[in-house]
Amino acid sequence: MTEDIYDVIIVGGGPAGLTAALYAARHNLKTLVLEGIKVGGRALDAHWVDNYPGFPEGISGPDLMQKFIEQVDRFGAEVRHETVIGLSDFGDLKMVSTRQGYHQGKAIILATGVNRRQLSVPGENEFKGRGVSYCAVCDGPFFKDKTVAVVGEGHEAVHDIELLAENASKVYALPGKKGYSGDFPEIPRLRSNPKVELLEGKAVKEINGLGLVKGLKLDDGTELDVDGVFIILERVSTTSLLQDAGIVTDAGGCIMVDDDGMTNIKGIYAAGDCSCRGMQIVTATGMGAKAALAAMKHVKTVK
Amino acid sequence: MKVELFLSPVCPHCPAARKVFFAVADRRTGDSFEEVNTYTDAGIERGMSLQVMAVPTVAVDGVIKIVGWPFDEADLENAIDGSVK
Repeated sequence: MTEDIYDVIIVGGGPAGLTAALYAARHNLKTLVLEGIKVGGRALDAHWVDNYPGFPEGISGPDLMQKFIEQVDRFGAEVRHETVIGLSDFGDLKMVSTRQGYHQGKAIILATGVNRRQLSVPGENEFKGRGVSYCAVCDGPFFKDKTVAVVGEGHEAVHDIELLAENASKVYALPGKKGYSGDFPEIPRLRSNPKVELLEGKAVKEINGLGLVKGLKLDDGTELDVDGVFIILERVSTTSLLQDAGIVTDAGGCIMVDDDGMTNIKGIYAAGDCSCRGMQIVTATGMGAKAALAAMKHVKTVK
Repeated sequence: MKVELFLSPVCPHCPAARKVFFAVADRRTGDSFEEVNTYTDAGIERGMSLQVMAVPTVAVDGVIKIVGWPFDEADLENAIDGSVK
């Protein structure tokens, strides 16, 4: 437990959170970053990043995030490995609860990112690593000339369908009941790819097999013979925490923000993937900077 | 005993698995420890021959013992010792 009052508390240590920390700390604001899993966020999973400006040869996700961390360290932001479990608004002061205690801040920037979620159907746990995978780039090579299904509605799922179709003999694309969550540029290519079959509006009911995955059962009774199931589902982290705090999200759990990155609660901002804008490292950093600049203005108004 | 760690250069958990693997390898000098890169033709062929379908995976004498992450040194030691006939 701490009685310190921070100017800015940033929840999440990915690209958006670290950029916000850099901006806030560089302006001499007392800045705290809370990250419960690993500083660097989902960018750590990126094998290679070719589209982050300033690195003409590209850079690995972990190396890029290490540079972010070093830059934040240089300006003295405090980083704590604590998992946030609650958030309360007391007007000028906000309180962030973690498993270790609580912290008070004049402004909060939420940069909680998105995380993977399970499909939660029979067979998923039983065949994990035996045909059920959550990482196409890691495990895709094992499915050369085999049939796989990709379950997921986001951009990463769409990208992984194309990746897997390079080596697999057939890829079933299963975005779920509502279809793909965006008008992704790859979708027309997928529709014309003879190896890809889009099965929209259907949900996976069961994964079955014997030792290894052998098939899928869908909610309309369809049965598919597959050797692998790639579950590429995402969701905004800490969704229930946001709801409990009264922060408005859309139906998908994305935090709603205005042009400055402010949520419906004065002094609480959101940046990066948790607001579902861009889902790229470069867009996350831009939003992190913008939210920090807005938070700086807000902090000046708090006595 | 022949202990193989199947990994790939793009798997986020493989560096941690590799660290555990070689920590145990340093102690068990009587056993053979080998990392298999599944981003090579030979590596993927070896993996598929054992029905490896994910990385990281540990096989002992050609039998899959640990699939996925996390595992620690004790898990790996147990997997190896449990394979002694």
